[in-house]
Amino acid sequence: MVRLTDYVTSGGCACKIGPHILERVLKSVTSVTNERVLADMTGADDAGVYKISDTLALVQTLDFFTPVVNDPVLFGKIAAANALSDVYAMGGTPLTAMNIVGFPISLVEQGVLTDVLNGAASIVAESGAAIVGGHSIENKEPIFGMSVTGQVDPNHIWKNKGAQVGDVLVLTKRIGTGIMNNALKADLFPTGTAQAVASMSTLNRVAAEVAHNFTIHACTDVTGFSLMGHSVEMASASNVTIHIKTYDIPLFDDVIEAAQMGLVPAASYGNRKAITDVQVDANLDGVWTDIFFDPQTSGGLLFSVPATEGADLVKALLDVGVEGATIVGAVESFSGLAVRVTK
Amino acid sequence: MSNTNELTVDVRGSLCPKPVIETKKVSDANPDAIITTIVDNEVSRDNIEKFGKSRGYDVAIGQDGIDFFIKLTPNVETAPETGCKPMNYSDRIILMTKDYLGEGSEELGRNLMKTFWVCMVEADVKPSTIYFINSSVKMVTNDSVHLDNIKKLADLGVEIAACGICLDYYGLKDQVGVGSITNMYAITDAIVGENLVKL
Repeated sequence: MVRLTDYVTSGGCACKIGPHILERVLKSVTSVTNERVLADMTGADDAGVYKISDTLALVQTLDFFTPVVNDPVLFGKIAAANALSDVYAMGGTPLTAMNIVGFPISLVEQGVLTDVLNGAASIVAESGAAIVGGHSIENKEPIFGMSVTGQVDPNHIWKNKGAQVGDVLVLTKRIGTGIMNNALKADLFPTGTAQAVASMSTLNRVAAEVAHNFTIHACTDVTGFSLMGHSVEMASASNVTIHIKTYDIPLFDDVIEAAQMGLVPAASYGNRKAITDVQVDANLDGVWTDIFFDPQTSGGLLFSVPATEGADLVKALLDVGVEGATIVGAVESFSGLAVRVTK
Repeated sequence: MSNTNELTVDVRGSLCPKPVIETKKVSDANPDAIITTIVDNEVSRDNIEKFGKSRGYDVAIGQDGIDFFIKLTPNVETAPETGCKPMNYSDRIILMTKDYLGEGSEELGRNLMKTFWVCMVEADVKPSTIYFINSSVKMVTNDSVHLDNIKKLADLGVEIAACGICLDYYGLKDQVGVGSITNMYAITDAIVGENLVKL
């Protein structure tokens, strides 16, 4: 039986190049843009948006990574759900997807790639989009991902920018996939890892559809830069301070124990080095730092909605089976730092 | 001098979580051994330190060039030879199962519980950890009459940990005034593996 994660050093969004390193690189790269570009990498948004007409814009994104789980079908599902998520995070609908493949020939011959592609296809089918192609190369470490194109009404794009004082923050999936992916490699914590795998392979489609019935001031998906990093991005873009309430953060079972045991991915340490615009209550146990900065793979959506609608949104999400839905914080007027964290 | 087993885990060149996994394997098989894990990156150093502390080891970290040596020494239970250790911790774990003490009259049980915490603060030998399940979790919340004494125990180094599901059940998760929130996995581990007193 092939153990996909044995082929890689770090998996999922935990294998991302750290934001502080990336920033240094991008600073010295010439930007190529025009007036039809409504969102690109400069705004820290989840996907690029290109205006076609007054009522139609393209949402484009891609994402790929090394295996986070051993089951190839599940790996395909997780990679697809993760790639599609950026379109939902912008308020869009996915239209087409293409496969991005780097694989060792030995694994291809064992049928592993076939399983990965079938797993991804099942999730793309669920999203309503079509798979229209792809590209593959031979590579020592297996990598897989997708490039996704969607559409959005240019007047109703969900951006990082727009969170308003008095809003509450609703998160739609539990936190801890980075830590649980490490636990999975160690064959520990079967309950928590099973929950994390189920969560990672779930599309953000249903959560986004429900949220379209509410007043969404800002939205992002919580991925590699962690709950803290993506909260900072939303707060900075919106010129507000986001207040996260630690004990309200929904966690997979066993996350705290696994973190205490030292199953903390390297990207978590990278995140905390890069993300400094944060004030954390000094009375909190140190393990929470590992959780705040844990890189998420195929994480949930984070909505900023008027406080009057927060509880209703959570209820509507829970009603359709978005089981992680929780209010995790509130938006306050800017008090010097992007995010403050209390118990 | 010492007949304690000393083992080395050399995981230089490995990235997380492998150093933790390898160290855990050696620790599981040799619980009484002193283990030195050698790593060559800060992430693994920090993770091995966390692992050591979570397992109750004394953790010492040395560095030689780019290599880190993390020495994990099992906590010795016997009294120290030079008498300057302020507190004598036993390896005992207490599992609190309700917010009154003993069977019979609940009213009496509640009074006994008050006395129990006062005595525990004064006791020479303290447990290493006190777990709280079911209604006993009420005792670690802000409205608890026992909070001050349990806080004193926490300040003295006794680990206080309440069951998260139980706090949820009573709607008290945001009212915790002392210690940490844990889950049934950790509690089960303790019940099976440790020297346990149930109250």
